[in-house]
Amino acid sequence: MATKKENPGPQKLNVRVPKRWNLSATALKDLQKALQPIAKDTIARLNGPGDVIVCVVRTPPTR
Amino acid sequence: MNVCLVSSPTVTEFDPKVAETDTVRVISEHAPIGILTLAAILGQHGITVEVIDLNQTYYRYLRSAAYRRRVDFCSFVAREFASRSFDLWGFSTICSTYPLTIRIARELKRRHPQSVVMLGGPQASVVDVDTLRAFPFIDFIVRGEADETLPRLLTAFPDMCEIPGVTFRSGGTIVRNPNAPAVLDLDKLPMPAFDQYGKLGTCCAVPLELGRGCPFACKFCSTNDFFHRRFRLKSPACVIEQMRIIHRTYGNTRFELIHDMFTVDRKRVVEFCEALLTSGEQFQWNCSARTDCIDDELIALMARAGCAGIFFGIETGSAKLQRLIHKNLDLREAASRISCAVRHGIGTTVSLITGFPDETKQDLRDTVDFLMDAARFDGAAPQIHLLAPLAGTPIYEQYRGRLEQADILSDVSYHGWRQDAADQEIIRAHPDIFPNFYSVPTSLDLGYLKELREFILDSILRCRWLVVALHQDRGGLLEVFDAWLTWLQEKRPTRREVSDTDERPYYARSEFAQDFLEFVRNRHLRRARNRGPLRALLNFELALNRDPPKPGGRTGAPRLAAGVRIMRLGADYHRILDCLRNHEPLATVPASRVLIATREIGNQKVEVSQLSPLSAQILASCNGENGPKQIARGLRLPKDIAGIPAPKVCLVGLATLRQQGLIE
Repeated sequence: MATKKENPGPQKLNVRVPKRWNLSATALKDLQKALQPIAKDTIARLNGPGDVIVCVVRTPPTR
Repeated sequence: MNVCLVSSPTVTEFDPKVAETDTVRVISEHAPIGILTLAAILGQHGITVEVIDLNQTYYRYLRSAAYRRRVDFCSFVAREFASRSFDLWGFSTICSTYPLTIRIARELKRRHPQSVVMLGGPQASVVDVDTLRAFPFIDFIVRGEADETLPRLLTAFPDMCEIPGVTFRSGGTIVRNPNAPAVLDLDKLPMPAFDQYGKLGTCCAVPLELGRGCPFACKFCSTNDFFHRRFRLKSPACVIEQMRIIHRTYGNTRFELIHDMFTVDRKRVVEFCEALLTSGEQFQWNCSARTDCIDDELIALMARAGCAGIFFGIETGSAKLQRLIHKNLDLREAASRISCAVRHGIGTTVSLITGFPDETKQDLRDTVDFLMDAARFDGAAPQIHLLAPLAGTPIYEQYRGRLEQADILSDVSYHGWRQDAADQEIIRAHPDIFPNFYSVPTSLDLGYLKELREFILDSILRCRWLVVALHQDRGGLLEVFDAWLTWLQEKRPTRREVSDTDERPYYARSEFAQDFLEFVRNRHLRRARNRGPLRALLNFELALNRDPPKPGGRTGAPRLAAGVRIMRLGADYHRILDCLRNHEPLATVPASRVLIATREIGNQKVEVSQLSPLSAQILASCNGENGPKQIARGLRLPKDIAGIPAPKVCLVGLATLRQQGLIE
């Protein structure tokens, strides 16, 4: 089983464009680069503004 | 003999709303392997056994008309089993629900006076004599490991004189037979009777016993004594075979491997991991470990063998208290092991305790610092709990005459928001039987500690990185907490723990989150050393606390996907997080304007994307009204792509944002 790293950063996105646009490979690469997210992260967080019920239980269960 | 074994409930103290949360659901699905193993053993001896899981009964109760009619849980259980007749009712016991178990046993004995009532498990084992003295409806108690005792006892019943590990009445006296020996060959024990459980296929992780006995002697711990401090492990072949059978029968691939201290014998942990790797099985498993009984190489091997979670009981961040409670961990080494486990993708629970008798404010500060440094790891779940004097522990023995009736209960003993009046009554009457509901004398104020616990845990769950940043900026979260208490007193002198319209405690309500962000903005930020990064984190949290934009607008026009929020910040969010994760000064984060998009991705996770200036322009125009042509018209293209027509840039940009799940 491979080990995994937290928050590996943004994945390369790859959007195809129609051939009839006649975009050169360089132009397409530049465009894709200009649209890539600069950074991406995943954080643990209870979502939203509503009331969230927080419950932290000592595990393993108490004896 | 017709036997019913009843589990010790672990979720009955939770308010219905809390009981429905994922955290409590996971606890409720923890199969009671102690009594399931006993059921399997008794089955081998030709004794019919039925197993009742009171956690499942509690969920049935919460959905019943009886609950709506305010019938209490104890009466519900008694009524539910009124028509069932068993020769023996055997109850498993733990400290947190011992009063309830006693009350249920009393009700069942009242309805079935001909039945025998037996207790076993960790709590009854250490308060056996006092329990039999106080509660005449309990007939006898099996102490310690019952796997060999119980079948012998039921065969000899009612003659218990020769059976070790039993406490019973004889005439007018209570007889306590010598302790039963520990079960040495755990491989001989059968697989728990999971067919009696019924919910295995849907549970998150199947508990399986890996072994028993922790050789250490921490002063607050009750389990080391229960298992005679005799370290034993099942063979890798036995455990892996049980995992395979469960996988084949129920489909589960995730296991909670139960042992108080699995990693004490390194050689055998290596054997287990290598056997798992050789087996080719892709099982995931969790376990408990001490940070001084594990090393980086072993952690790497465990990760390769499928270890997905480790519970590390650190207990205190104070070196002095480490010695006083006989835990004796090297705290630097502990932090390093946590870091290593997280690096290998192993989720770690970092558990700390406060409220020790000799704990000073400086000790508390050290504990909070340790906890907050653990919070810098995304894969670590820090916890802090209040000490409970568990029966039979050295701390309890040291303070037994000086225990105080606690208005403030340790969360190790009780998680509920309210305690049943009937439970309170028997707790008050029998401090020696229920000492975990009392408190030891401490120089720190228990109310302060409880509020600190709630403040830390709730704020970390709601806005972890802002809290870590405050901790770093102020040189300790305890100082932030003290300032928060002062602010709260000024701002809300009449704040109520429970409001008129809401039974939830203050820290569990959104009111707390709003107040906390207001405190950071109006009080803390003024004095902050790193105002720019803190303001960016605050604005991030404020934006996440607002409702996401409602979908609307023209059909077909690009709009934000459900749950997506966008926000402008004055500093690089990801750079801030990198600094906090790596313990680097926040002063190194320069001011810059960034556009952030957040997306809820389930399982209490939020994906945060820092967009390129071009994507940011396009996303900001996706208001559900503008079509691609209108969006393209407003674009200012960067020099690199100035030769590409704006409508084409816009179409590719929209496709890219769609691919990221940010628009629809």
